[in-house]
Amino acid sequence: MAARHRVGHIAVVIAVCAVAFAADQVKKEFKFTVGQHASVSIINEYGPVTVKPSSNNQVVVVAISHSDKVQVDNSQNGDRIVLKSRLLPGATPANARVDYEVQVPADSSVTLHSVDGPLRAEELSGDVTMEGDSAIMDVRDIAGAHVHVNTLNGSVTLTNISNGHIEITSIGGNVVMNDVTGPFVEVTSAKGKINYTGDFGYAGNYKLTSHTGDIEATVPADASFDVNARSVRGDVENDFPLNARKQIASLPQRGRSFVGTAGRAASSVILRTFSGKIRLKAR
Amino acid sequence: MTCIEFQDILPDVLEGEADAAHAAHLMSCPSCSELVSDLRAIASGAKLLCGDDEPSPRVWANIQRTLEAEGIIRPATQPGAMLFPQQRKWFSPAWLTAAAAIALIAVGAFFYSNRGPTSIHPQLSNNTQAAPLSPGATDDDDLALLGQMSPAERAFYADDLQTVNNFIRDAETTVAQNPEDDDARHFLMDAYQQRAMVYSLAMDRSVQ
Amino acid sequence: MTGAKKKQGDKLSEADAIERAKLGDPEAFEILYHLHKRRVYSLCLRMTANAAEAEDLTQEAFMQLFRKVASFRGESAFSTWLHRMAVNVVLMQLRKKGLQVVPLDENAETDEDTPKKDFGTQDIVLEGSIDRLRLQTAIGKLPPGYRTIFVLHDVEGYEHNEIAEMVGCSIGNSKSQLHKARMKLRELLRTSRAEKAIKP
Repeated sequence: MAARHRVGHIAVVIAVCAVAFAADQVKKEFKFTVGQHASVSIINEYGPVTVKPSSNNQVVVVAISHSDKVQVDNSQNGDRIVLKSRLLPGATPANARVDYEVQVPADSSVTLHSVDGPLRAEELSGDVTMEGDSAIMDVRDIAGAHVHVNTLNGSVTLTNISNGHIEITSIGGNVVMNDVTGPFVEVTSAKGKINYTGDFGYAGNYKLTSHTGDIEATVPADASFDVNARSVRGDVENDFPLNARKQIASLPQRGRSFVGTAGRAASSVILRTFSGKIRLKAR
Repeated sequence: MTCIEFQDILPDVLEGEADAAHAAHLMSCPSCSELVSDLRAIASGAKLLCGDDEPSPRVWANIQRTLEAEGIIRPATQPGAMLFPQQRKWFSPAWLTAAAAIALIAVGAFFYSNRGPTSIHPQLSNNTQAAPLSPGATDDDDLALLGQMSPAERAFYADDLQTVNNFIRDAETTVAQNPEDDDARHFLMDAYQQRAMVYSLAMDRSVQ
Repeated sequence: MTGAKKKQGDKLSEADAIERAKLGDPEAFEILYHLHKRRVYSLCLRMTANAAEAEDLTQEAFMQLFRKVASFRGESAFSTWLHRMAVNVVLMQLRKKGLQVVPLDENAETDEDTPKKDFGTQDIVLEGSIDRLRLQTAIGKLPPGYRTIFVLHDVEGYEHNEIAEMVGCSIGNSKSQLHKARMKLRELLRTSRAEKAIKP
């Protein structure tokens, strides 16, 4: 009997906390009218930010803060919108969280920042910049734009990014790219893994570099690229049928590097690790 | 040759690829002759548009501020060692000597920082949750940066600094062994940039 | 000091500044900046026709250079290296703004700015002399694609094969756009000359 009372008491306490938590939530909606190529920055400390395209020339932001220890400041200067989570005394990562849902005209440039995220952006044609400490970052369906991501330890996933200029810097977060092409794709990681699945298309320059993280690239048999892969101390493995290059600067070191071309060698692919493994596979 | 035909190949004429027929048309057609003369004057005039315009002082001020923030140069008000003392000529014996000295200091500092509660930074030593700094992360700037943080943040960033400092150390070693190795130098540059990124994100947190 | 020796002295000071910049010397960066700021800024200004934007791009070009100065190996002149970097920065910016740097099809009629062919009906010619200020103003009025090719070729001296590689077009396209740019400038200069003649 005593145990049942105890459980009942605990259940009541949880219910009260949940209500109290919900009561502290504050939802604010902001609307801004902008012209072409607007710039939208969401500087969040803790909490997710999601960006999707809007169907008109308005930027609509819904911000849900979870306590009164954080306030959302906003400003508009012409076509430049900035929303920032301002921490107040007594703020902690738990109570300073703000959830942002953002809709922007597709051609807007967006800059998102959150320590713990996650950060998400999709279906845009303007530049996307994301920065976070442990935030999971997800960018998908972006065409003809710059994508810049800086993360310490959050994982980064890019999906269906075409004709892009991509720069990703990660310390420990893994980077996964699915169907990412561009004139320029550069990923630098310290210990995070880099995984590329795509065709290295668009006659682009691709450079994947890591210190200790492994690099794995899976490409279709009809891809067209010129690859130069090297690991200073790690192993390399090539399962892709490559043609010998006509001219090479130096002889590849067996087991530590490989070079070659596929198709018309339209794209340049450089794979470098210090002590991670490199693997090139055909799909 | 008609004017239409001449103007169709005008770009080639201006590039110096005129033949007898083109020359004859120019001699006989004042309109096309004036056109060619005008276009050549425009091309010549363009060459004289030398760089006289000057950017405002704010451009250099912004560059200087960014160079300091990224640790590429030392701040103007802070004398002393450069933030990146490792940037030396790759093949210089003096650099190799300095690298050896840094390694010795790093090893010494590792043992010093792990000797017990009475370390240089009481804030760090008083907190049992603080992550011990590795030999690669004993730079004074790292300690100053971490000293401004809460214990939980400190552990988080100390780990990342250790990662990038290990990267820098490995890259420096490879450059020292193979001074002409382009890849090794690119690794070193990448490692420095990663360190700059860690600093940038950490400083954003610490000013809140 | 003779001119030759002075020139050699200047060259040495840039080389010294580069080596010191590799070591992180702040004064060295400042020297390099002041040595090259005018040329970089002028390039950015001519290609964008906007002073504020040109300053931002100048800043970005120098920052990219300074981040990479340690890897400069002296295979080309430092100024050439910096210049190429500045051109790439500007082209990247134009692409980001969604502006077609150069039309992909050299025969495509882009818009009403396509210059008219001249068949001898003009009333006012340039008479061989072009006022520098008017030319600068006219360049600023060119459509971005024409302006890019014209500035790179006629002002900055790049060859068509270099321009083609930088902007991602064919050599033929580069030549065609240059010609259209010059024809358009001629129109603009003649218009401004006519307006000047009419004004009291």
